[in-house]
Amino acid sequence: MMTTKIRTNRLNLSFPSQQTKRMFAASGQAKSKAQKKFRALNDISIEIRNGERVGILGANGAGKSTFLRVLAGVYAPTSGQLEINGSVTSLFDMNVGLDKEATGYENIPLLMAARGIPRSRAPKLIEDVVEFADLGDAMDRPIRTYSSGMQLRIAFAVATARSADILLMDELIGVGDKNFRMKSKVRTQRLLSESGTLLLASHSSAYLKTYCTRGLIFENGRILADGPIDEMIEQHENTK
Amino acid sequence: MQIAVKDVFEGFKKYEFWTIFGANEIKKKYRRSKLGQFWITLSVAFFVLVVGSLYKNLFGIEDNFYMTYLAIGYVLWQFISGVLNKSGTIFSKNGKFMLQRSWPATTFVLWLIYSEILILAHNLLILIPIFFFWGTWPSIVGVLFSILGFLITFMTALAVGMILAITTLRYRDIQPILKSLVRIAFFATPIIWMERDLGAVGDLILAVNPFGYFLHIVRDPLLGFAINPFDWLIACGIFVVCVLGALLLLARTKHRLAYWL
Repeated sequence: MMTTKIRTNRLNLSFPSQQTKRMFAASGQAKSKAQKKFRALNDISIEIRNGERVGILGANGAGKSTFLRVLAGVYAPTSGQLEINGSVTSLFDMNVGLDKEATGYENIPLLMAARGIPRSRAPKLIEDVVEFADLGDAMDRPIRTYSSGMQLRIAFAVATARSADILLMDELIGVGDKNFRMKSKVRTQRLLSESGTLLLASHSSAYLKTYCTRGLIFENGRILADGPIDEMIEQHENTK
Repeated sequence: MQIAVKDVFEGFKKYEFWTIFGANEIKKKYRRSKLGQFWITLSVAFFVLVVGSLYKNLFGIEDNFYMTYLAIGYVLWQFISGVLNKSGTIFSKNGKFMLQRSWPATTFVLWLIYSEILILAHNLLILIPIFFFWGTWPSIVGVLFSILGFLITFMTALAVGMILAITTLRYRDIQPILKSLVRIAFFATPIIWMERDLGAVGDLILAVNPFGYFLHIVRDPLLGFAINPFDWLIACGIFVVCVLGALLLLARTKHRLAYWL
């Protein structure tokens, strides 16, 4: 059965912005309260059903990340309705929670806590992460001694360990060297296939084609187009 | 209001989060030192011993009792000033967490309070030798009253921490003001000096200084002083006002916190 996972109705989001206030003042326009605000999302009405894999396209600043953050519960909409059925997991910045002075082992529980993974799952998850990150003895060293690729391996391994009801991803990149990139691709695919519903914002047509079936094009905080991913990628590339 | 109360409950429920990061806050600071977190204990012990030996004579306080008085007061002040000084940066420092998913705001205040309580626990060790050498051991009833006093202090700190965290996030200028106020408050609170002959102005300062009441309700029972109901009443009054203020402020601003980051 196809149940609705996410529904928004005329959703708007405005940021308070001092920058725009100054800009308007300089150009001599009247400073009404509305103009002091920067409207990041404008009249978003959309329905996403269970099991849909939605790719989000658009130029920088089009509102892709802001939209995902609204769905993640970070920003409350300024007006309009937002309805979410199910648990949401966001994968925006994998490094959040990382302590560079702590060892690889010590960082796993920190990363878990940062993503809200219950401690009861630690034994299994640590085993999984250690095996996947494949860093050997380096796990006992502070991660400030790691290369950035090695650091990312741990963060990536924890971030992708748990599947979700609704998964939000912002530009998931391939991690590490060629060999590890293959492994990370397999792991990402597993995560995506185990997760119910996916929203992925990306500039990579290849990623979007691989992982998504439906596409949304954002422009200036509005949804410009909505349709099958191939058509959307084509349309987006033509307007570039 | 309901939003705020829910936030507080949800915040406490995320104890796995704030305990691990609260503890890591301390580990982080002392990770590469040999003595580790016992530097916290040592530096406070050093202060108490040096300042105590000096001021004992300066103030003409001959009895050994001054050392226990100073030690308890200073250890508690470390907790109060730690919370006040650091609460201004709670949200700005942990903004990256708040931009990932929806967190109860209370969780981040608890993170700070928890790490300050761990520091307090380290500092409490100093009291053992101090009581042994210079003082008389407090009675069980005294300890119980002191713990009750600390619980009120702790909950007030949580509320004040929340108020400062939110207001400083919105108005960043509060942080430097706060730091200098805390420094002044240390000298205006009976920690190194004792309330004897302060004169009219001194008495007035003491009466309006909220910190004095909290020191009284925690320190006095440990020193074997008689319980002064007036101190407890004022401390509880401050506590209630702060909690209500914090809840009202949180209810009004909760949805906007992420925008101010």
